[in-house]
Amino acid sequence: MIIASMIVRTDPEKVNDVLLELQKLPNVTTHGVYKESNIIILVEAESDDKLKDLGRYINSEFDGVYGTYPTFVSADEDIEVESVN
Amino acid sequence: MSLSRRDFLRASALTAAATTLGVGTVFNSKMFAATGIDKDQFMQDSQGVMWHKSVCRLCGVGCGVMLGVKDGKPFGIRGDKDNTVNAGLLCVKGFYLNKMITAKNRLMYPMIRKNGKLTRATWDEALDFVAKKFTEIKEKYGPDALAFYGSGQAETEETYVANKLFKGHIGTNNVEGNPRLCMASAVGGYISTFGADEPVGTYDDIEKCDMFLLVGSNTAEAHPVVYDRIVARKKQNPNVKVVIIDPRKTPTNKIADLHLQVIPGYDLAIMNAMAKLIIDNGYADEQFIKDSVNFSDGTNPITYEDYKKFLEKFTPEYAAKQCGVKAEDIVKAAKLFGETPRVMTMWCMGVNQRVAGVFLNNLIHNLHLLTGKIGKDGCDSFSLTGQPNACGGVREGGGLSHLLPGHRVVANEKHRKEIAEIWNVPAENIKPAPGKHTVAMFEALGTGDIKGIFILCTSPAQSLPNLNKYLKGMEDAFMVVAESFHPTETSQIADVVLPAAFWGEKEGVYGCTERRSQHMAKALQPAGESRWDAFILVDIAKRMGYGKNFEHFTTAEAIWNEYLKTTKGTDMDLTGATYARLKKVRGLRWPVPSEDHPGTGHRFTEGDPYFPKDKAAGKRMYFYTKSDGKAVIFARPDKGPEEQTSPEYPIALTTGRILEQWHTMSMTGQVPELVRAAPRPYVEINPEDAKALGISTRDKVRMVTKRGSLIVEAKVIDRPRKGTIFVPWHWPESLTNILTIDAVDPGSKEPEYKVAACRLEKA
Repeated sequence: MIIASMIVRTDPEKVNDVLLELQKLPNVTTHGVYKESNIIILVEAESDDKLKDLGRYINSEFDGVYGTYPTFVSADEDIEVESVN
Repeated sequence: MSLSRRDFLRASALTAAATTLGVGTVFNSKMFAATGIDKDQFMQDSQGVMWHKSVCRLCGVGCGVMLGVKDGKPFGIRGDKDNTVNAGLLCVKGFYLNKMITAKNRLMYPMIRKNGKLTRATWDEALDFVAKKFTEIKEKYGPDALAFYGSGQAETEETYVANKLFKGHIGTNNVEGNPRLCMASAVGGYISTFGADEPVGTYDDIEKCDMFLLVGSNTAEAHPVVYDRIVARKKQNPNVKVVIIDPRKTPTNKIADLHLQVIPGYDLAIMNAMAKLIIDNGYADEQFIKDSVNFSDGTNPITYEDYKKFLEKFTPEYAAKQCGVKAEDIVKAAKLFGETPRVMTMWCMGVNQRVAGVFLNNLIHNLHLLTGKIGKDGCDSFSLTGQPNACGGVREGGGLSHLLPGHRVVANEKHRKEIAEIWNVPAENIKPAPGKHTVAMFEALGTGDIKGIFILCTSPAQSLPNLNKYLKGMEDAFMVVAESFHPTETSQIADVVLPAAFWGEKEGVYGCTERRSQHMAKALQPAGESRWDAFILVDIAKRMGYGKNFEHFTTAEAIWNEYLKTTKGTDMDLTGATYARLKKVRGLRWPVPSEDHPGTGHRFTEGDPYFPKDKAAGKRMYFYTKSDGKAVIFARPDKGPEEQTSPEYPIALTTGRILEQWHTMSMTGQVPELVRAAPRPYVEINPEDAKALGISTRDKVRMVTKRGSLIVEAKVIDRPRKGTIFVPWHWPESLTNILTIDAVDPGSKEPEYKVAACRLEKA
């Protein structure tokens, strides 16, 4: 299970268009527009391979997006590296 | 109501985003309402994680990062919202730092090559072997048969110890670092123009700037958080302009008002043309020039009138023809530069990684000196640094073959004496002649002039230009590699591989682009049997018989404190940047000469603790690192690339980076989320070139230069200009540097990664 959040920074004049496009993406829910041009999105998927690379996809395919910045990611994984004291 | 793990993670995710944006407290009820979470439940579940203040391991921006640790293991990463560099924002690479700590390719134990195979060894066995071999080589062939090659990703303490060992004790100046490959031209430009390295201003100028000139920088992908600050500035004031000079359209173009898409390697003419237009149209600050500027042709002083004469040939029409852009766009760029009150120019590898790199750096500084747009709010010629500690460790710490700590040079007798005293060695130990620069160093491995080398935190067997030329030398020499990850292209051909503690597992200092030194906490125990690089070097020093001057290095702070002594009274004074202070604050910008000094914004002007008011006698700026207080405007010719295109090699090849990967992928290549973004090597091809060659996206194509050939996947995209291709260099399975040229800038010795002549064909 993967849960992640991201800030999508947009051109203020295109924020609503971007919001609508984001809402069409599978595995993505939007959680509002803040400070005129910042959209918070939540990404959920059962596994890594169910997710495309959203950051690059949103950056390159969406008109009006200036950048995407991850703010949280979590997955149920065991930590394999042992440390020695 | 019980809290499911899924709900907890959703709440954590949303509050992390909200906190980064500063739109509410961590326990914003609206956020929780969106997830259906009881905030009191959330408070209980979020305990048990210790967050440690640190700095991102990756690019030169210097973003503040908090590393979360729970039960002795990395829990997660978040941006440090109290750090003014990034205010909590992180790019996608920095965000996955915790996954790099626990990557499957972490090197856990020492290895020695026996019968052609790397086999596990104990630390004693490995270090005894290294010390014995190094001593034998030194005694039989002399100290210059040994070398150290370090990194702009090593901590300042690590580079300091290496420098002290090799230059001060072993007695060789063959001490280099990979910033030779990325920042040396910027160093050369700053020193020749201003008398001292590193920017005059800071990031604070971004929020006061009215025009950004970005030259050879894909800021959106290479320095994303700086790009974000430019975006924010433009949003704050829509009149802010962004002008780009670059052969390639990049994601940075989203905010560009003007793009001069130049032929790779031919942009110097534009700078000279802009200078001419600035003067001809009355944009020059004549008083500032009179007060604070000298002129030079590179060899001799010249007059302002001589300089104007030199510029006569650089009409917009001439420059346009040389560079492949429109003359009117050059005029527009110059007009904007001249008329806009506050201008910052930022640049990166597109300027530095050129045989004319120092010249181009000088020409950028020229524009700011002509107009006086330097040393005041919103104005600077501000070089963007590639690596997180190229400034702090290597440039300031003296980790290049001609340098000593504290912005000193080996060629200066007084400098050698000052450092020798601090190192507690006879001054004669430090040789006056510079050692071999990086390309020459690895060439010497091939000829056998250098027989033993210690490589720390870098992978030259992937990053050197004209790579095939240097691989055998690395295989033949006695090569010791200290690394956190294995295999890399370099560790897999080493004779001894030593596991080094990684970020988060060691304490130390990084110095970023804006002269800010920042402390990084040790939050975890080193993985496996790995050790801190500085202690590895101290151990080797002891085993080579130099223990007396290293035995007090029992902590990172002890090393830092000795290093601080080398900076006292210099232009980069860090005396006030004690560990006690650095642990509390989000870094300090030098010069910071005392513990009550807040650090310095603009250098060489009021507010700089070393600004000599008496000598300045009313002038706004006094460049006290020049003997007469004046910076230099250079009349530099519009030198083109070393290797021009030809009928046989008609395409200009340029190399670079993508957002999601860092350098040789030893770290970022272990993070599936990052690999997914660009899973395979590729080459960007202009659609017109692709059509002419019958190439479509995903076709296999062969790139051929005089040095080698490589087959990768094509990406047909309107980014590189016609006649140019762009290749990211990250993938070890597709070594881009087989193709690049190892011609170097004669001043900086930095190779020209950015231009080579190439042939492209369908494979």
